[in-house]
Amino acid sequence: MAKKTDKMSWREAWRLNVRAIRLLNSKNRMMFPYSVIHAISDAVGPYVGIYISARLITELTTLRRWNVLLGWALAAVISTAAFFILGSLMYHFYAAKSATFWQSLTRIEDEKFMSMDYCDVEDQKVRDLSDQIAQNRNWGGWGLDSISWRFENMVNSLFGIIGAVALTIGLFLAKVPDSAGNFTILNHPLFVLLIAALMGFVVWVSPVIGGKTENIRAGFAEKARLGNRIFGHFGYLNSDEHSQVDIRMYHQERISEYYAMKEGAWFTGGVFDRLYWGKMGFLSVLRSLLNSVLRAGIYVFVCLKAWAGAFGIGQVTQYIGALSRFSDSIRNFLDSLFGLRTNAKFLKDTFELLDIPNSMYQGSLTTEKRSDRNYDVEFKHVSFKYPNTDRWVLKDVSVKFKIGTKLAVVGENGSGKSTFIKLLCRLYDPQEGEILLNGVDIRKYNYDDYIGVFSVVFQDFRLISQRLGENVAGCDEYDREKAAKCLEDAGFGERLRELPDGLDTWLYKGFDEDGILVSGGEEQKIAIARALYKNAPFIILDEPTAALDPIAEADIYQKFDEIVGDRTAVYISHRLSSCRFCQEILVFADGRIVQNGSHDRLVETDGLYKKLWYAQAQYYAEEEKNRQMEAERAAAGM
Amino acid sequence: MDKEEKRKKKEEEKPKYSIPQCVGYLFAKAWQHQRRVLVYLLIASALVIASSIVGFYMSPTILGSIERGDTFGRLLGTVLFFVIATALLDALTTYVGVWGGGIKQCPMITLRSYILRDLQRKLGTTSYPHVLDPKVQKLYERASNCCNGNNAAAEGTWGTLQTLISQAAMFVFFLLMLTNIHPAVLIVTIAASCINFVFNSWLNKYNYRHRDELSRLDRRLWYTKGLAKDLSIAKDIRLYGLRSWINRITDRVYGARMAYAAKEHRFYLWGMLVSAILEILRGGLAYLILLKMCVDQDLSAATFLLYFSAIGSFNGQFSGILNTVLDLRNKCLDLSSLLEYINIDEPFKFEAGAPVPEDFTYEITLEHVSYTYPNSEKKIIDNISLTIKRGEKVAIVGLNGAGKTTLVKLICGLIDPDEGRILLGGRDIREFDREKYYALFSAVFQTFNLLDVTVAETVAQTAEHIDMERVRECVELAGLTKTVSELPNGLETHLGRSVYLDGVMLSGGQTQRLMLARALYKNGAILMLDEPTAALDPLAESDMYHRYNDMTQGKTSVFISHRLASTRFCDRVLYLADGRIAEEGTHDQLIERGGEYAHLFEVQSRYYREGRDFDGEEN
Repeated sequence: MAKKTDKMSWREAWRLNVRAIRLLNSKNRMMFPYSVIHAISDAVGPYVGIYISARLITELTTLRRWNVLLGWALAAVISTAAFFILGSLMYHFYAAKSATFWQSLTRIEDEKFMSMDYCDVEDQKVRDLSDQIAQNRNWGGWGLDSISWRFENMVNSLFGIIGAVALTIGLFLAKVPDSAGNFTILNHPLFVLLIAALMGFVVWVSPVIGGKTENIRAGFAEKARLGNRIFGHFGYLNSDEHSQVDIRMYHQERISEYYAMKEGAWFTGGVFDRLYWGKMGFLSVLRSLLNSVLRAGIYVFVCLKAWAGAFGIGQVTQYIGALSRFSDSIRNFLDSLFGLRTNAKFLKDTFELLDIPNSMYQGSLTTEKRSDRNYDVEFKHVSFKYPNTDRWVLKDVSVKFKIGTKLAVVGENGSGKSTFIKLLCRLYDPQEGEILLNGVDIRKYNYDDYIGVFSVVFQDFRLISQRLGENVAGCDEYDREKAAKCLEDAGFGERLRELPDGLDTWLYKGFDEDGILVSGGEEQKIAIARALYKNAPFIILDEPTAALDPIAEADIYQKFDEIVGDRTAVYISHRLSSCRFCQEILVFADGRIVQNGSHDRLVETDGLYKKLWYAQAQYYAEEEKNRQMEAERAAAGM
Repeated sequence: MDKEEKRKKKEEEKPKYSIPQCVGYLFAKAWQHQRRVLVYLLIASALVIASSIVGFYMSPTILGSIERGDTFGRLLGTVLFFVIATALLDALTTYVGVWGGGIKQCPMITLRSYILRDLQRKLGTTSYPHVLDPKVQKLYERASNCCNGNNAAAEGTWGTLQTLISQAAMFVFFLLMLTNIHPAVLIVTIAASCINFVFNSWLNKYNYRHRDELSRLDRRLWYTKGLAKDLSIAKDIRLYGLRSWINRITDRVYGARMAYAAKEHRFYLWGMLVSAILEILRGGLAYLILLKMCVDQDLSAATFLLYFSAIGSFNGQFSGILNTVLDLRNKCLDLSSLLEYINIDEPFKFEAGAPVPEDFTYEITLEHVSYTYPNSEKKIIDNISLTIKRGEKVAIVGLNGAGKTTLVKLICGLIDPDEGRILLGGRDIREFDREKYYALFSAVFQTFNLLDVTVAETVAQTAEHIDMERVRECVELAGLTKTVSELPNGLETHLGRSVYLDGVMLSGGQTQRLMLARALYKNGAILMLDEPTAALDPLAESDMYHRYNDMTQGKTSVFISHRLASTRFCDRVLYLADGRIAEEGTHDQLIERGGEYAHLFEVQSRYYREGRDFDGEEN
């Protein structure tokens, strides 16, 4: 990511901003039109007011005709009210639309995340980029967020300029009468140039200073983001009941406090404070003084000309008012322009995220629907390492899945078991070797079709805070009987019958306050039910009984045959007891398959499996030995 | 809701601390930590008042000078005076940061951090039952709104006060100036402002009246936002084709929120209409009276302008005051919640409690203890009596939901029993300073709170005065030395990537070992382990059991698990069922007895026994 102080070309800034506006407009149809109309009415309204009150004052200084005075007064009151109503109408339409504007901005990113290749979703670099975009938004409103108000400011100031020009022309055209003597010099066109030059100078330098200030701020983006991250992480303790236990047991509020108060980018004496006292403070004062100089020039010129007799004091209020707004508008216009350019640098981050290609799921072959569930899956010399890492997580893995077998995958933590499954599900593509389905490389298949072959329950599965039945089916329209049956098979039947709302019960409280909280074990059963509902030929379970107690676990084991039926099953578990009912076992170590075979054969062979088995069995086997010895003794004693 | 309930609800919702109390609290905090905030408040208000007055007189004075036909020198002098005065005031205003930024900004942020610190200290040390109480949690959420950002009550109130002070001063100023005018103008102005204010405040309460519906919509919006980037859901979305379902959910949620906003804003349009009508009436009357006065008394145009601006400003200041007071009140609602939370009564004793004596026999006794969670009807612990002697190794086993974790929380003093007592060395633990009591326990629970600090800091749970030797010993004892040596910065590596981007994420198993190291470093007299091997593979698990004796040298230890292999290493096993101790004894005794424990053991060991089919039948 380029440093934020690098200068961006105007052309590139233009391109990025146009793209941003198009994107925003496509998501919020009427927002831009409303905000444009609002900006215009906001800009023009005051000028109408200035014009009318000038007329009124003029009448007061001259003829004082009562009905004319009343006429102008009425006009003033009505026009103010009219612009107010118009502005409010526009604002309210705009506000109604923008109630979800901010969320819809993040939705643009969210949709990208949901459609991205999985390897990108898990990629640390992508997540960092997304965090950075969020932080840009949080600390300075940089990014897509500020496009709408910066754009509106620009339109507003543009019309401000037009209106001002309309009202100030008279200033330069009005002539000081000859009776003023020396002051007729004020009629000289030089003064027009002088004023124009002064104005030009101030309105050019002022936004440049403003741009410098914004650049200084943007240059500290890194520090500001770190400060905000620290604040977010250490400033607030986790208030949930589980974290609070740890907090009390280990006095975590102390270390949190230490960190929260340590890096004070925004604290008194910190880097931003020093900037406000120093560079940034100085620049803002400079800007303010420049504006004052301009104002002085305008006042002196206009008042002198009026004093010399060129026009009445009514016009004075008009010209001073209009000229001030004129310079303000030009300054705002340039500010917006520079701001949009600085902002464009942050837009780059957003577009970098949105432009991540979806390269993986381009295959188009459909899988044949086979009722005999005869799907042949094979790994051929597959090697894999995670993107942007050096360690090979899988090394030269070759295995052929026999249809209808129950396969157990075991190994120590970090040996590659879960990665093996992720490759099988095509969440990643291997760097070497290939994975075949019915002899065809899985990359060639349409992904949705391909994944239809597998029902997977990962260890970190998640259910959504929606209705129970919908979670089982993965959709809001579903077959209720089928869902109920799957829950029954997964061991959730009794609990389901206890629930007053049955399949329509809301899970968790994220969506509905009356949602139920389910324990880890119950969650696991629902996840298994979801896998069953999908009814795919392959079923893969990764540590499915980790949260279950022995009775519930034995229950699942018991029903395993029933649950799996004639499907091909892959079962990953630490609890080697599960290997007893699997026909084939794959033992992973350090990314390779080091052993494979049935339990009976492997437990006799000296190797990793035997080690793992006895590490667990030793505690239960002693019982056996004792009981057997007793039985023998008893038999011998008879 | 009937009348009585309505009255009670209203009573509950009234803030417990008044506006002066809340503002007083802010001033006290500023005096304590950042006095310059008070100084800047005065300076900023003074600047605003001065700018308003100078700005008010500028136009009429200059125009008057022109109208009267003053000399050139006089006119130039007047113009220059005002221009220079405004220039200086503007420069100062910008530098001080009256309207944001400036030297005012950072001290206010710093003060807010101190207030937040106080709040978090309270959150982290308050009696644990408060964490379980939904009412208290709601109070905390409202309190934490104070510190959420630059405009939140803990910081934004200063701006509100500044505005209020300057508006009040200017109101008095204009009031004095307008004493010459027909009182009808002032009366109508005040009346119009009040009507407008009352009507619009009632309208703006729309969100408050519909807050239940609004908070439901916002909660759902918030939830759906979280779905997209969650890593675990990302897998399930692709594996189960959930995308279109989630899109439909999101569309519905957004649609509902937008429909609400549309309704809300249509409602506000009425307020706008009323404002416009009132403004026409007020403005029209002002014009009428002033113009008449001007014509009748032959006042100059400059004087007309003076009075007209004064009336306009008077109107602005008055309605400004009404709105600012409303803003102040809203901010003080949050501040009141903050004060209420910080001052909440503590059921546990802390400094007022007795210290835990050094020479204690750390014998813990439970006498007929029962406990029910708030908002639940079932007794999760039902009349348990038990003594754990010093140095004993106790295992607590049972099915999920039997009450194991609750029992541990009771022993640790996180919750107090509803019935019965818990004694340490014969004294009721409620007498003690609760924090000193917690110091006796080294605990590893099933879920932990990890912070983005270094490994060493995680083990020591402090950033200062770390005993690195001891850290290394504990890391070794937990079996993590090799893992740590492979980290980029060893013990100084940060954990997690929320804050420091060069941090590392440890695996589940590594984290569990780290939590063990942490417990060992604390070196509490009583070690409590709740399912500490759940994420470990068989070899690591076995390794852990072998180290168990070393880890528990000289300590009392309580080991909770439903993996019955672990009970081998304990002196005594307690089998919990339905909140009671169903069976008690050594592992062998319980197997002898042939009760539920024996059954559980049999079920677990079934698959590990050779020569048997997996349904438990003999071959």
